[in-house]
Amino acid sequence: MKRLASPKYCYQLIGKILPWTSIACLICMSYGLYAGLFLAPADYQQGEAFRIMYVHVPCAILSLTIYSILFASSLVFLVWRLKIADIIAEASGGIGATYTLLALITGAIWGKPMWGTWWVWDARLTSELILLFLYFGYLGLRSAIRDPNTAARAVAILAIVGMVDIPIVHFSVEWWETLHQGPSLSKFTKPNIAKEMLYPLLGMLAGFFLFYLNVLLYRMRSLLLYRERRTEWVSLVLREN
Amino acid sequence: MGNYTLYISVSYFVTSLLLILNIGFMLSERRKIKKMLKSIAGNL
Repeated sequence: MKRLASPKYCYQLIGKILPWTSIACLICMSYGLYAGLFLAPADYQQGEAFRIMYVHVPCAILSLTIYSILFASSLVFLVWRLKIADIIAEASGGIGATYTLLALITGAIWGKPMWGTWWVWDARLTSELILLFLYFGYLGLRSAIRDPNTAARAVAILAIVGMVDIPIVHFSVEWWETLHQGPSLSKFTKPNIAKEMLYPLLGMLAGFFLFYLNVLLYRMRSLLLYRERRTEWVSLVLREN
Repeated sequence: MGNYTLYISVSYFVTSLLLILNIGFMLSERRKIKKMLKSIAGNL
């Protein structure tokens, strides 16, 4: 575990992992896309429009998952001062914001034919929009502070405080009467969705998670090089390339 | 896919576009950092 905290070891390890995660991402996304668009049968109520689910649901789940990762790495950074934890947080911010924005856009596009409106101020949509603002705030605050150490501490505190929104987004459909439907996938109960529709969804979910992992690892490598630019191992890496 | 083709196509198009933009950003960041590091190494 201690070795994982070493920037040099981390850089080399990521280099070995990246090709495999890229291949796995391609396989999962190709399966999810093909099965979701061509093999899954049309929904008895929503017809073909339910196929938006294969991009909307993974984006929405990952927007929450990535924020939880942001929270955990910020906490680890503040408590143990691990540089790697701050790098994970910095590399996650942008992709988390992208997934949240995508969840809102694809949700609106799904909402128009199903609900007859692009947007309603219900609890799920509003709390997800607040999550997007939290991500924007996180990215903005980091780039607004010149000193990297002060910036890292400030954004870590913001990420920890913002965590309060995650359970609100997740449980909003149970706590309040919302236009947004309840959860179809849950850890504790049987999925409320047919297998022919579920497997492509799981494929897309895995594909989107692996995409996040790829972007995260690739950006971590870049940030490691930048932050360790005065060390000998970075000079060695540059000479080798 | 009937009336819903447009909605489905736009959703998938926007998703692909933003994911590709992320890849573009990630690659340009890497290129920028490597260029900067090489200029630092050249000045030493």
